[in-house]
Amino acid sequence: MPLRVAFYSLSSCMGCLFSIAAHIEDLFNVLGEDGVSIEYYKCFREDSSDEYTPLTDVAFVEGVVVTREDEENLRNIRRRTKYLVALGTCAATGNTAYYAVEELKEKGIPIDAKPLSEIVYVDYEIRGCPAPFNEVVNILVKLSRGWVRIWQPDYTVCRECKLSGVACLLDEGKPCLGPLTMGGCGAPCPNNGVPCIGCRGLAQEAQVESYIKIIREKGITLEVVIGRLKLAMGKHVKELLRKLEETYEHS
Amino acid sequence: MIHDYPSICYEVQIKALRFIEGHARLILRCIDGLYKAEFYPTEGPRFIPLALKGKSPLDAPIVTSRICGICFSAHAIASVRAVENAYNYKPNQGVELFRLIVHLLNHIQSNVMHLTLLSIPPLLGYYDNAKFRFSRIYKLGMRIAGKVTLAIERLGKVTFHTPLFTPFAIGLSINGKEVYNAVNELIEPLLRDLDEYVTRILSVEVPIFTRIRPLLSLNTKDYPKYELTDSLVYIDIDGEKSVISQNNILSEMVFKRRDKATGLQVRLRGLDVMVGALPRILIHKDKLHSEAKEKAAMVNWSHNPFLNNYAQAVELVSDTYKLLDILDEIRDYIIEGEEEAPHIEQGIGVCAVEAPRGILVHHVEIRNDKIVNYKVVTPTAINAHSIERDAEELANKLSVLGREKLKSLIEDLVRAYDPCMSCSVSLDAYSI
Repeated sequence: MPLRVAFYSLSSCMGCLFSIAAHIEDLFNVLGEDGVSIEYYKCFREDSSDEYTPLTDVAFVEGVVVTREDEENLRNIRRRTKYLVALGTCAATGNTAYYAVEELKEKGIPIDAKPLSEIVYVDYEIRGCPAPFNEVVNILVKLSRGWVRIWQPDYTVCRECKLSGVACLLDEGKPCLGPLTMGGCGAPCPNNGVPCIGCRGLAQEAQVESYIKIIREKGITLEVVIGRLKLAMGKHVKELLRKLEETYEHS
Repeated sequence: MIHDYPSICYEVQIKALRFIEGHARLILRCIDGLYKAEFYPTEGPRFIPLALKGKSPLDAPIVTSRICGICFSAHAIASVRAVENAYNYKPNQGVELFRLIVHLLNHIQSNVMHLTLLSIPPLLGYYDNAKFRFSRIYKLGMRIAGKVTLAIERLGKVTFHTPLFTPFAIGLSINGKEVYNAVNELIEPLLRDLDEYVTRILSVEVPIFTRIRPLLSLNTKDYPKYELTDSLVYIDIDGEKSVISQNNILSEMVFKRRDKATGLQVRLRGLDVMVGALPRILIHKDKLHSEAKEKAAMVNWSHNPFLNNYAQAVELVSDTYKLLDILDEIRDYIIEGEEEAPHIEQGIGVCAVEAPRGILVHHVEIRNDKIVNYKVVTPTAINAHSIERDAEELANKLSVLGREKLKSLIEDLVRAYDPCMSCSVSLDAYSI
């Protein structure tokens, strides 16, 4: 029986879905033509002009929940799939939108931007902006074999910078979030001289106390770090803020 | 050929337009015997311009590139140049050439993915690319997309939202020969595939329909995708040309909101206006790369929005050959940016670029090296009213086809524009 799969988007840039579409032949090569059936895929398979949510084994959902329609669609998708995967940072953490709406909320505008897990139960998350294609394939291969435990990197982006021999941007006084961010992306931003913005979310191995010590030594203010965290880390920021402020007071 | 038939009144609702980037709705209502259209995004904004308030301008491109998953380089380049303009900074020639290489790679990637996955399959009766992928057009298109995507990955280590645009090119240090070696070996072998692909696209039948509308493009000496200038050219419905300064373009725009829309539309000088590949070719056809002119000559160009598909295909040829020319040129450069960012007390920067879908404008206000205001106007927000006017014209002429056939034709019309709704909601309906 082929694995029945669907790819949906809510409020998003569709970067995750397009980056998978660019590698779609690899998906068929790995899983086999008979191993996977794409029941719906925004921008790849849209048979019906009416709203259509097929029954699936695995539904990947990209994007953040902003409108009422997003929420209704998400709940409908959850009801009609065995496994729900939050695809990409928007879906997993809320990404930029999560904190960007604060100013509008303060003005009394009833708007919110939530990751999927704040609306429905999410079985797996693939964080990244865009979501790495190899992690999408990994989940599909494991689920097609009935394996439900999916491994994700427990190390930080720093490990990847060290492995690729990139000079540390924190050493240069730049507010890089690499030591707090989950690795597995290949550190493309630091490799190009751009300090990490934390789009892979909080790392299991994040060493908050050490990080505070380093940024103090380098003259980087906590205000700047928090501002950058809010650019992409979404829901993880609250937990991290609490840890950061406790550590900053004590160190 | 579309003729005039008596108009038959009924409502057409396309609640979720298929095979477009993002989510949008188009509704046609008959009022006093004439059709009125409403086209608007239904997806939520992610408030990226708002998120940049209070942040360092150095972070603007890496964040704004995430406005769009398919034309990320257009946002990044508009952002980086808007910031640099605010600081009165001009990058060196090596940096400009490098940025143009990445930008052209993204243009090719965007156009070929739009044609192969979104606009051509439905014109050939396919709404499932899992079936269409066995066709020659699909195989050629995705082969081209695959190589171009790999080229982007080689340069930036990631295939989308590539972090290669930093203000003042801080952190950029790359040898032109490395760029040449990384990209040329992937692109040059594509030329034969590209030729066949474009010939096949140009032989796909599209509806014949003309409505004269104003056009807007960058005002350039070379083809407008290949250089940045500080002015735009506007052609009105009488064919009269006028030049608008980049710094004044936003003040010439009025923003309108449709009821229930999550994003705004643009009116320029009170009218609809079209931007994108077709306007670029209509205005600047003589400036296409010489290799593309032969393909362009195969088309009878007019104000037919369905021809935007052909225009994107012809641009693929021009962009690819231009890319190869620039790769030859960059071989002798050592591309390095600044070591540190300059400082300003106050500055305003605007940059208009030609994104794959048309004119994109980024506007930034900076105070004491922090962003105080950021605005993005996208080509789809500009094209929205033109889409409505075209839908009205088609419905008025062709309502006799019946609701289902008209719906299908309108969907093809919208797809021809290659709208990006995720981009268009950057001009969101909440923060005005």
